[in-house]
Amino acid sequence: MKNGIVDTFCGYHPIIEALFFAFVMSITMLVMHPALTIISFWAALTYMLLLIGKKAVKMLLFMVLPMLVIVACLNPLFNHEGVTVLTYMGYNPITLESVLYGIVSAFMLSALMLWFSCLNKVIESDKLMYLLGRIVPSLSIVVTMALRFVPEFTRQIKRIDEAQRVIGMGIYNGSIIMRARYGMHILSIMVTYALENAIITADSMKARGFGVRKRTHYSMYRFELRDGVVGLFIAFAMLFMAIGISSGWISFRFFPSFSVNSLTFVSSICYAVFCVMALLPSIMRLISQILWQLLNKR
Amino acid sequence: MKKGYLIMICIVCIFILLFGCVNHFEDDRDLKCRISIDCTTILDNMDNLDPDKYEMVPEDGFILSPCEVSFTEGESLYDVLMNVTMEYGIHVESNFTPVYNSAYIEGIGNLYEFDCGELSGWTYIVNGEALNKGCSSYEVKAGDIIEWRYTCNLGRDIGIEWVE
Repeated sequence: MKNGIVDTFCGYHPIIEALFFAFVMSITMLVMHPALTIISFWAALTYMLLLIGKKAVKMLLFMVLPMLVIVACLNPLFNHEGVTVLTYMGYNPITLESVLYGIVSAFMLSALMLWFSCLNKVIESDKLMYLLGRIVPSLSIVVTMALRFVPEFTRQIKRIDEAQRVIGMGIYNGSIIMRARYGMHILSIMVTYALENAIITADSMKARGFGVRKRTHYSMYRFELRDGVVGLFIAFAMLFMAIGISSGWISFRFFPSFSVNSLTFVSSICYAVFCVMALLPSIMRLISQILWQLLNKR
Repeated sequence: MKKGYLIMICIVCIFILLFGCVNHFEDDRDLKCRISIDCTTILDNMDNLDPDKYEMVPEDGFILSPCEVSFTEGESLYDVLMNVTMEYGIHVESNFTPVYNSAYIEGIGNLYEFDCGELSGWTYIVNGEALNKGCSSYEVKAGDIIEWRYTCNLGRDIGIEWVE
């Protein structure tokens, strides 16, 4: 977190953060189960409110809510399967099953949207570079360099413009035709600079030994004991959910009629595990805040 | 006085409308035909059927046992099917393409095309004969016997041999 209160989960190792988001988002995406979808949506919303506060409410009202309504309304118009006919639209039936399916899929989409905005806040660009740098090193350096060019070139073009203006050849001097000509002149200088800059960069990289050996990179992330503990916890939950879903402890069928898994001991454990996992960052934050207050009082 | 006239006119209008409606229903549906909807072929191919759809198959295979329905002159097979299914509360999903004036029945009673193998779907037979055209372009005649049948093998299992 760059500003505001430091979030506990943001201080964890990037791999653990990536693992958490992969787990929660894949369960949300792959399993169409009303209970899991609602848990996921609720947990994402909670964490988002903790992370960005009032902005989350704004996003919820202007982005998530309209999408939720639109998706929920669209599904029954195109999907007519289901045994419970509510009404007819033209010659095609509107069924209860397709209405509920629309609502659940709308919640699933909104939950994913919320998770993605949480991910954006938690995994910042340097963490992303660190994560991707191991998998695709060449792509990550290209991306880094390309992103660097944007501010670099805007700065340079401003400098050229200032210099040209001083000698009376800026884009605000003379008639329209002259202005256009001066503008083209500035662009041409800019292109020359960019090409020269590329050669200089290449030479400089070569001089520092680029491509001689496998690159190492600096990172300020250390894999600590707590990362290991949380990672193990997530891995265990992943395994448990995978077993639970594949063996049908939790399942939901929408068409042609609803059928839900019976609420047994193992299925309720499945729900609980997912609930705790999805709320993990929020719980961490809550615990650290309570600890902080307790220690301050002493 | 003016208000009284208005009310009188309104009442008369409503009566005309009401009687118009009643007459409309009584007079128009004067022709009769027989219709049935069955999926007996699925009973022989239960192992191919989508497991989610088991409970949708009636025991004797008839979603609608043969019965007599009345219709208006000029109604197509599609209209007759939709009227009777709406009346009996049978689920039907269809797809109408206005450009070709052609309707396609995707599923009846939650049994859809491709639910029982990749050659399965709904088709129809009129007076024992399979017509090679869309159900919305055949005008039903009085006394027609319409059979809507589910096939699991592109019509071969219900005796339809398409010209090849």
